[in-house]
Amino acid sequence: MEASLHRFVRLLRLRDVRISVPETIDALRCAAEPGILADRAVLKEALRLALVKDHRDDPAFDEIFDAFFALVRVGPSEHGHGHGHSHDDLSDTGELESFTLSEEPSETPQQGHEHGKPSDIRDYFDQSDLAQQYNLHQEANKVDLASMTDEIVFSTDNAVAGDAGYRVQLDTDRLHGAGVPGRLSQETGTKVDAELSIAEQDALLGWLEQAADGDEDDAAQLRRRLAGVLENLPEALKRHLEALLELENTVVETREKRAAHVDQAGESERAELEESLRRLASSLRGALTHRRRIASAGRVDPGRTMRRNMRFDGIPFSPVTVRRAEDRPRLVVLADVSLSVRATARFTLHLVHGLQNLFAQVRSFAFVDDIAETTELFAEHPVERALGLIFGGDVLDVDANSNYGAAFGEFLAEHSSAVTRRTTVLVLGDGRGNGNDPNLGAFAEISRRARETIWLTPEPRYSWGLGGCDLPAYAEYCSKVRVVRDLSGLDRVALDLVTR
Amino acid sequence: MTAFDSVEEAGKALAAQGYLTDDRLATMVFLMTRLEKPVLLEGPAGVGKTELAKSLAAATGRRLLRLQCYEGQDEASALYEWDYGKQLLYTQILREKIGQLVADAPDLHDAVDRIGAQESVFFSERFLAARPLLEAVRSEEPVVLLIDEIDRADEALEAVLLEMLGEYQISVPEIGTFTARNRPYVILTSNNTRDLAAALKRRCLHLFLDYPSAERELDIVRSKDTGLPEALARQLVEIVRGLRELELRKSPSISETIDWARTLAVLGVDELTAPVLSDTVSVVVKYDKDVRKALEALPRLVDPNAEVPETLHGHGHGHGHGHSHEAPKVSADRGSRSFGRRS
Repeated sequence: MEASLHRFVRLLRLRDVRISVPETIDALRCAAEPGILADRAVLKEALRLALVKDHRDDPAFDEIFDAFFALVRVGPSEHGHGHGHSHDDLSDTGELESFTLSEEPSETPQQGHEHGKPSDIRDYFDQSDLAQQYNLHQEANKVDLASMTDEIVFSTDNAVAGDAGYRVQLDTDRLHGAGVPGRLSQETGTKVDAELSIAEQDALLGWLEQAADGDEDDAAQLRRRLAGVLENLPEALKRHLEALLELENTVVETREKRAAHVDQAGESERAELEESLRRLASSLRGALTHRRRIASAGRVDPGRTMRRNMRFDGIPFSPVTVRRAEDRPRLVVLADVSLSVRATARFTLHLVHGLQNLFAQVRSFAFVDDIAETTELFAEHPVERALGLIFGGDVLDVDANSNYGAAFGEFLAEHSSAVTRRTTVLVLGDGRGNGNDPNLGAFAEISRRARETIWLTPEPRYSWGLGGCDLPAYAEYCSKVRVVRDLSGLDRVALDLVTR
Repeated sequence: MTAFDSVEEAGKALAAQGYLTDDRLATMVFLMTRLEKPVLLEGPAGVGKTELAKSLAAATGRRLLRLQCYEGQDEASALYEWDYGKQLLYTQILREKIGQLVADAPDLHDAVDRIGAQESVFFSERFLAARPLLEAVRSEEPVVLLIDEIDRADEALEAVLLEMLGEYQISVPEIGTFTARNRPYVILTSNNTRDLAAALKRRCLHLFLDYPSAERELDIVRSKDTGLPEALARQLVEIVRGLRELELRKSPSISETIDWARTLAVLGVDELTAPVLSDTVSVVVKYDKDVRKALEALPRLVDPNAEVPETLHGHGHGHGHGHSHEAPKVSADRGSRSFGRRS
């Protein structure tokens, strides 16, 4: 039981549930109590009591408990173990709007030689490759970005019988919800070591079939070409499952190691972010109030001390110390989420979300050319969902060109009551207003109302002068401008602000 | 009575005190008494977190100690305080004795030393004003310690609690460390208004207590002897659950369901209709905006389908799924009319 509980805990940790060693020991003690192991439902609740400390981890716990204790390892629950049959790296979060199927399978991919996955999208446009009118990376020959159209090519050198290579061409005129430049996709599906080509085809077929509004002829053509494959499908699937089962022990181990590595990095990053934010938080001060409040440390207040010690003949047995109270900092965050800062916008919003958890009074606004309050959004949803809503365009049009002047003006008109002399205004953005009126007056007004204005920009100082950046003008009205584009930058700034 | 022997026994013991548990709660109580670990209950207001502590105390025959947390609370009100007044009083009364003690001291220095040797008399448990936490540790008889609404307290107080929750001991610098003779059953409750420290959570078993299932809530209403007929109680529970799905500023809690049932019983209602409910809805809905929302929704909750004759309700067609777009004109009118009368 100990071993399997350990295994269970490890799986939970892979799913980002934080479980410490004492909690694992608690779980063991819980499971060891009489009557607990007899009933699966009771065991589940007992383990949940000991292990799950956050309501949002409940679904993950449910899923893994069911998968783990039912000992069903094949089928949908596979995803729970951190690997799936997703198509290599081709998972795309954008919706498929339309596609056409080409007659000709691509010829270009050659026998692959392994280069490793390109780490940067620039590698797809390697000069020498382009010069040969040749496909990019031989290994990654699923994506053919070298041709004039954005084509995605499934190579012919798969184990498909005959000329059953096929090609899917995706046409979109506006790529929506794209990830950060430099990364094609947020999710890197884990490749299973077993031969999966059949399953891949199966999934692809299902995908094509679901897209009902596709061209009838093309789909039919494709199906005809795949006829031979489909006949063998049941057998192939059976073989695949057998192989999978056989591999199960070894593969699960290695996969888990790999997944664990990635997840731990995410976890430590999150912890680091929290740490930096705490430091930042302690540097932000509210205004001093004139009221003196009783505090455990501070100056002795003679009057109150005398009054309290009247019953001791005025002998000051229990001195009353007071301190001028500092208001809690109130924070207003204005975050630019336009395309120009997309690389850091995700980080920025993580930051906003973190701040909102940390401070009692935070109002957050996201803007591009409109401005929208996101306070409730972040308060109600977990960060991933909130980000999805913002970048999905549910809150405001994120594909527009950013217009700082208009955003500040509107903020002043609609939400100026959010800024008082107790508020710290935190602006996150690069200050590129695309030639629009920077509306310095509005910003000056916001800054004047606030106690302090801090601007965090992702761009280093030397590039401010390039490409119509209004930041130098805005900087006049800020008490601090700092360059922050990632965690380490934030950490530096936090340290810097604290030590001053 | 100390620990329970099985999960069922724990459930039954609480039920005997009028607190109905589900599997999850019964398991929690069982494990808590067996492992003697503190429990952190999180969840919305009014789902019976505090009530659980009271019932557990009654079921195990323990004394209930309660620490109500609030913003700006200092540790003196949670742990202990020196009773200066009493110390001073004793010094006054014992002045003569002290006089004798130092009477034959050759010089001031020696006198101070002699009094210094007696210092422990004045810093002893006698002059310690115990607050709930210290009380729980020092108590001769076993206790249940309820630390209510811990999320309201400052983070500093959380840190003070850690020693208590981990080792059941409290250190008083002048005297030493008190360790609990009988480990108290500790229940912490939180309304989840802020995140608690990971260190605190780690020391506790954790349970998220949500609104109960319809069946359990009905059982609870029934067990409280509200006097409302069975069929109406069933319908009422469904209506309250429907209200909870409206995303009100404050969702009706179990205790408010019971209040509503009592109210309706006192009024002698024998059929739940929109006007009757509208007149009494302020029992469960406490904000102006919520009242308006609830009044709009009530006719639909009472009768999801206007075409069905009035006699067919009470089968608990439930929770306002979706917004029925063909909202019954008649009942809507009725709802707004009664609203007009109220205002």
